[in-house]
Amino acid sequence: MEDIAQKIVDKDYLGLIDTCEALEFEIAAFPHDSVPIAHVYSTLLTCYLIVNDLNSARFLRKRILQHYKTENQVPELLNAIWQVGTALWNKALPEAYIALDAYQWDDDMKPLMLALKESIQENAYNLICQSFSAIRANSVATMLGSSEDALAAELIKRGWTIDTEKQIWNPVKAVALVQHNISLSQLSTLEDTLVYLESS
Amino acid sequence: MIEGSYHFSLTSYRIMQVALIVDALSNLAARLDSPIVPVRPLRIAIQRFCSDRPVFTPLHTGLAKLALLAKLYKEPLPVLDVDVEDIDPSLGVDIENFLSYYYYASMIYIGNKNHGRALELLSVAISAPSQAVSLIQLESYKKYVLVSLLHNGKLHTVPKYTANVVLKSIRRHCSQYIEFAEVYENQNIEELTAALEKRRIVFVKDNNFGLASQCLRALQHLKIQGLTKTYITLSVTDIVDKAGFTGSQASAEVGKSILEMVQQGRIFASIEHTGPGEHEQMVSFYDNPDSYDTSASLASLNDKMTRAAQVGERLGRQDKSTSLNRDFLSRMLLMGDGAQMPAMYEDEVDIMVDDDGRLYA
Repeated sequence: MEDIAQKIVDKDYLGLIDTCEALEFEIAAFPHDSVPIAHVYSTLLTCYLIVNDLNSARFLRKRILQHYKTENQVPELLNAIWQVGTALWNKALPEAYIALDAYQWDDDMKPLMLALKESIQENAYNLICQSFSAIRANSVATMLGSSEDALAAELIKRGWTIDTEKQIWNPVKAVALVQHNISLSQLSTLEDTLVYLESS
Repeated sequence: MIEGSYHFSLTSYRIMQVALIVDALSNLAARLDSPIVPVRPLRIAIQRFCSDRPVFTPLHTGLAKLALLAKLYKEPLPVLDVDVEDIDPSLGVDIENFLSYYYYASMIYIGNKNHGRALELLSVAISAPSQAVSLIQLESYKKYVLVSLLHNGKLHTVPKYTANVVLKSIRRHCSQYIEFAEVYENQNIEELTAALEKRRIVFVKDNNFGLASQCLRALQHLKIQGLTKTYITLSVTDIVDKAGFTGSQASAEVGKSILEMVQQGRIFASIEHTGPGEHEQMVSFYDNPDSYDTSASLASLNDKMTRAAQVGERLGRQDKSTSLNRDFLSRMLLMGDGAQMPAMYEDEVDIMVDDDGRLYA
């Protein structure tokens, strides 16, 4: 339990996934009460969503249904998280933001949910930069789950320009850093390859 | 805790006993009513046993099947990702184990949306040497058709060493699937929708309806991908028409599809909103901007070459041990006496091996 809390503070979500997956097995094989299974499920499900591993989240949802037998018995919290998951799976970003705000997360879940929202926004932001050369201001707002006014300052800071008349933003294309490092190991692999080809 | 119980090295004698554990564990899982219990121990057992050589064991089938039942699609991947290279009958495996393993494992990859790998495994099951057809092979072929459409946009032929009896019964028993693939290859969305509806009962009965419905979406993507080859800029309304989207949500669907495909790196495009209306948007298509001159592509090339070299080496070893096998040699000698050679060996005869096992064909 402390381990989980510590990893949430450290924002080590991949580590959390490992811990929770191990706990899921352990509790199934040797039931004990030190960590309630619902807590493991809720943490694991949220972490999968944070790292955008929707497939694993989908199968965890199926395991949760299997565990609780019927949908009515699944704790409300897990259903609420899965609402977000469903929206993400359907690539319906606005619905994901609505689902995030619709539920009163308890104090345990709040930091994770905040991280989830940030991660969704970051992904949406990258997606816009990658695939739009011009985008309506209201579309940006729906994709980032925020109001047009609140976004304006932040977007200008990131170097975007706006056509104020038409209310259309021009995003800055993310430029990938091109590196041309040649390391010693690459040279030695090249050498090995040559020797191999030579000998065969 | 679970890991601790397998801290001994598994010899082949022990693996026979461990094979019984598959049954014991699945019974336990049923009793405890938690199907996930046996999956991790099985995975660890296989990894221990197969750490030095990737041999097929009865545990493989158990793992794949139990993982499917428990909806644990990520857990068995470290085992499934390793290609089986050797089958040792002394470990108590039979052909049913073997075929089921490939069938179940392919379903795990389908769940993980790794269609390429699923296709590989299914084709192993279909092309396994057979004197009679197994139901598993037929079911594998049904999935093979649909996954092939999803992954390649067309139906790939099965490997040419597939047994004749399998080919025959595929044609007889999987005709619905083959017809569906033919419709798909015409690339007409309306026709495909009708074809899917017509076969709904068959597909639902085979538990393949979900997979078949994905083909519809895949065809839409394929058509958009086709447009990128012909056009530089298109309006969304044009794409709706040309790719055959229908319904009131069509332009929103197109937008979503394009975003999805750009994200997956399947197309290179940028969307430009030109005005306030939903329809006022243009899509420009580009060529792949990657010129493959980064150290990352070099590293991936290196990686692939190392793997190819390793496979070559293992193949050479296998070839040598086969050519020294007494049964194989006596059979080859018999064939040399003018007897008709079975089709299976035709290719192998051409490969000559010199005394240190290297190929010089």
